[in-house]
Amino acid sequence: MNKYPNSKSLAEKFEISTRQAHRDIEYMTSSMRAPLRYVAKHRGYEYTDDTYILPNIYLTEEEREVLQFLSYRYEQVNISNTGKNVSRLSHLFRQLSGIQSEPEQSIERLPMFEYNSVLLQMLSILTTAIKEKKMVELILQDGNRIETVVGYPTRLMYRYGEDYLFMNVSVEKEKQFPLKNISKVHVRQENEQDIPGLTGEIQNRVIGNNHSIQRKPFLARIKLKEQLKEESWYGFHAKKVDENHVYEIQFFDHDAFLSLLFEKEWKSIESPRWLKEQLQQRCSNILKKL
Amino acid sequence: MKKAVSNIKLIRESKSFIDCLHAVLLAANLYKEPKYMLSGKSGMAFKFCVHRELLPLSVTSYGQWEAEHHEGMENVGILSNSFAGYTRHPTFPLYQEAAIFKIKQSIDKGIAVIFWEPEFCVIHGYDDEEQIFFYTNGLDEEEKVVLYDNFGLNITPFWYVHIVTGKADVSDREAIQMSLQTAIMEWETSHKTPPDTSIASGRLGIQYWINALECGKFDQRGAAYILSAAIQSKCEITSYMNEVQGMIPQVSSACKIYLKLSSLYEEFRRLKHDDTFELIRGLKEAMNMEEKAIKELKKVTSTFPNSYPWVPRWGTGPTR
Repeated sequence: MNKYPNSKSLAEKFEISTRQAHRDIEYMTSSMRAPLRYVAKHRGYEYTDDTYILPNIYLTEEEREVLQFLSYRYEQVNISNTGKNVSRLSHLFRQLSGIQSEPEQSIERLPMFEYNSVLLQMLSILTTAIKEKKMVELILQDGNRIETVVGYPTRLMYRYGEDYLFMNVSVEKEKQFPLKNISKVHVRQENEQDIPGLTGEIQNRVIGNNHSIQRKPFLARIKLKEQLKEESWYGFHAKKVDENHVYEIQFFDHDAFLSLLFEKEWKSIESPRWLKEQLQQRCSNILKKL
Repeated sequence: MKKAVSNIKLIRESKSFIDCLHAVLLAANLYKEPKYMLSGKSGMAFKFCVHRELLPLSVTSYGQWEAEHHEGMENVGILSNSFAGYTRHPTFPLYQEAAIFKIKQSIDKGIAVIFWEPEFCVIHGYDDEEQIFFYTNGLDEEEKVVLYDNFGLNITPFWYVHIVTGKADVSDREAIQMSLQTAIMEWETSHKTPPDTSIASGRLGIQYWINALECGKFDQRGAAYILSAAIQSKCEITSYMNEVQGMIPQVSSACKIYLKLSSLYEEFRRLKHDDTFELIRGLKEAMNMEEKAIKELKKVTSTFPNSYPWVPRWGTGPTR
């Protein structure tokens, strides 16, 4: 191949038609932005920028537009602890899309889908746990059924329009969980990993299917601000006790439930006493630090 | 109404059973010595097991718990009862009920109770109105709770409760003699959980550790846990031996070796994450050193009146 290839020499070299070779050269200049120039003297093309190399990721125009959209969306996100990374992602997406123009210009033509900050946060936690091989505890909710599953997450996968987490819940037993069913992720601390139950008996406290004797949930009587539309309070089964919006709420993981009490609104805790004391203790610990 | 034993200070540093036992005994005023003395005298510091694939279970798989713990506690004169079994057994609810009753009784007497969560944790209180036990795992300061109904159910298929009931006077010399014999037995016994040979004890345990590192097929988390537990144990043994040589001067040569061994294990802490070659080299050296230390201990124990460590004081059969 000479230093100034043209459609004829490319066609001969790659055993394609001259027309196809010509289309490929066009694709390189228009879609891949290759700095090609036709040199009449040599009857062939040359790079005007010697540093140019063909990219190893090939994107369709549609994919390019989606990346541009993601760049735009991520640019607008402002989450306190992930803001820096999100902005970096925005920059990366824009670079990948190869479009330098202001992203707003083509926004209206792009497909719209919801940006989910909770999901992003969860993905971030899970990715770290996978990388650092940490044990996590998932609170799963599927309709009225709540499960607590513990294991070592191995990978995340997107398929059939759904995100899934793959997790080792016991030796050589990998289970998959749709991310939409995960209502809470708790990463076990370093020292909590020293669970001798060992890789062979990873925690799987799915309600009612692991032991011949079912684990019973803790019950909390909580007065809420308003009536619930269904028998669930943020994923925890809730049964109405009286007309004053007092509900009996079931929970298995008191850590997850305490975290929820910090996040969501409620009026008062009627029982149990220990839950009130623990909440009080956590609040006072935080206050001491402030 | 909550009833609780005060002054429970559980700190996770040694084997979790010893951490718990020490916390329970101190709070009940049944023991005064530092943790390394309890770990040494009970022989628990010398228990060392390794799974073929360095699974984290290695650290607590030092034998049949009831036998191992009772023997260790006997060495320091601690009277105790234990309840254990599999949660799948049909009798579990009955045992659970009995255990709950005994635990409450013990707390009423001012003695907290050790149970398997896992790891081993300490139940220090209960509340009959709310049907819960309060316990601490030593990992964080927050008090944990477990429903009476869920007591014993955990991520492993077995449950375990150990209740301290009293203390008898045992002479220091007798306790130390037994502990040194335990050290030899632990080193020389290949498997503490027969017929399972995937877990090895003592000398063979270190060989399993080396083999796993050499072939590269091992659980990284478990490997880190085994290493940190081994470092802590060697540190405890060194402190213990140091005290012992004041009473039995013949152990001074073994004590010197253990001191070097402990420093060697401490050096492992500084190894980089992927420096397995160096760790293997160090473990081989450690195995030779410990072999020498045990030889020295054998010389010392051969002078003891009861030089058959594998025969418990009450003989091999049940008491009559």
